[in-house]
Amino acid sequence: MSANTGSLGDLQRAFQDYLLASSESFQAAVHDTRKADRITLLDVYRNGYALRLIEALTTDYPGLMAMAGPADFDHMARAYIAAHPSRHPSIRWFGKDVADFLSATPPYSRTPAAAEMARFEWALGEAFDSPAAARGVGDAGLHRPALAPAADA
Amino acid sequence: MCAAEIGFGLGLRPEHYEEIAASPGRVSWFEALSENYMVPGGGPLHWLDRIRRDYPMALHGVSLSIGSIDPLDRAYLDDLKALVGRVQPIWVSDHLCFTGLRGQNMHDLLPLPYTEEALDHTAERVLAVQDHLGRRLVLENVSSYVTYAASELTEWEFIAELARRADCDILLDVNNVYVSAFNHEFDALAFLRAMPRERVRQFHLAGHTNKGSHIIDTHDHPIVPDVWALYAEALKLFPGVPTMIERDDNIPPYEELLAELDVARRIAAGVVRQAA
Repeated sequence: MSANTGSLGDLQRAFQDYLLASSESFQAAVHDTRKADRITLLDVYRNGYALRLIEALTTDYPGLMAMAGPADFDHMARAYIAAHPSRHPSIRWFGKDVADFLSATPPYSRTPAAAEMARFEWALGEAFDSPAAARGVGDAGLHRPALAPAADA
Repeated sequence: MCAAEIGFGLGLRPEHYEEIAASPGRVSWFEALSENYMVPGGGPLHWLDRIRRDYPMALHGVSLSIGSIDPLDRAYLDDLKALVGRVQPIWVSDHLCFTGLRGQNMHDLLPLPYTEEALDHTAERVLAVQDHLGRRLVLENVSSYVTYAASELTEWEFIAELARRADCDILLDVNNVYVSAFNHEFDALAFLRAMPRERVRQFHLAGHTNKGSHIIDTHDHPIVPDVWALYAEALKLFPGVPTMIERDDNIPPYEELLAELDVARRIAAGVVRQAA
């Protein structure tokens, strides 16, 4: 069955596969508008998917970002997104496997300090959300500290 | 508490926790993002409980994925039910969309095809969720950037029929109506007029980003004049429905959002005067 006459399941699978850039068939299921073609419009979704997840990682791992630099961080983030699709209702947990990913995946595994930094930064966030976290401590833990780049990194 | 008493609210955002707690009474209620508080404890729940003591609160979710062909996520529903027990919200809302399938969360509000099949499927799931939570759901119209060739109904026909079949309520996002009407060139007023009056439980207002050929629902700017004008029309059709402003990015000082909420209050007061 082609995507434009497909059932609900066919259409949803085609949409998701389009966002994951694993299939282009969803283009046939949607309309152009008079002002924009469907590829431009579908790009809002496809680009939004990656950018939202990269932003979540940027929030969780400012120190890692400072160590790696924006371009390498972006590359790492996209590799992580492909390897670890989100399975949690909250985007808050999307980045939880970054340290394990970095220690297991070349070329990142050749820089152990990267995985160490990721493990440290994730633990900072966890400490704030844990049941044992101090109560009424102001918002010190909410705005995760923007760590200075490690001099020896 | 009747709807007209609930009044004007804001989204509960971590950037404003301390000011909100320090200056009660500046708004009438808050809308908390459910998933942010589905955590074991710590800071987020501390602030939620603290602010809930001073304000009525609605719970607004983004991951129910009510239209997905995946099975309903029972663990998510159990967590939501526990949060509902903790907060005792004025209502519980999420979006008319799907957020992924095969267990994956795309963290986006993806539009459904407006077909009879999608209507049957979604209505059945709304009923199941309402049964699980023991209360009515409130579902929001989303902004969309594409429409499906397969659609058999308009979005407004789909929503009105879903509300009737599933006995759920509607969160009318005025900005989303505006954005989708611009993108797909339909009449925003026709959308508003098709909403069953007794089911419109809440309004959302927000800012967006206009790309010329299409508008993206970014919640990172102040509300634009055209959306305020559409809001005034919505108030004429659905008088007294509680309103809140969503701001999710480029979050300004609390005072700026309070000033924007005052604009909503003035527009509502003007509509009431005109009607009198």
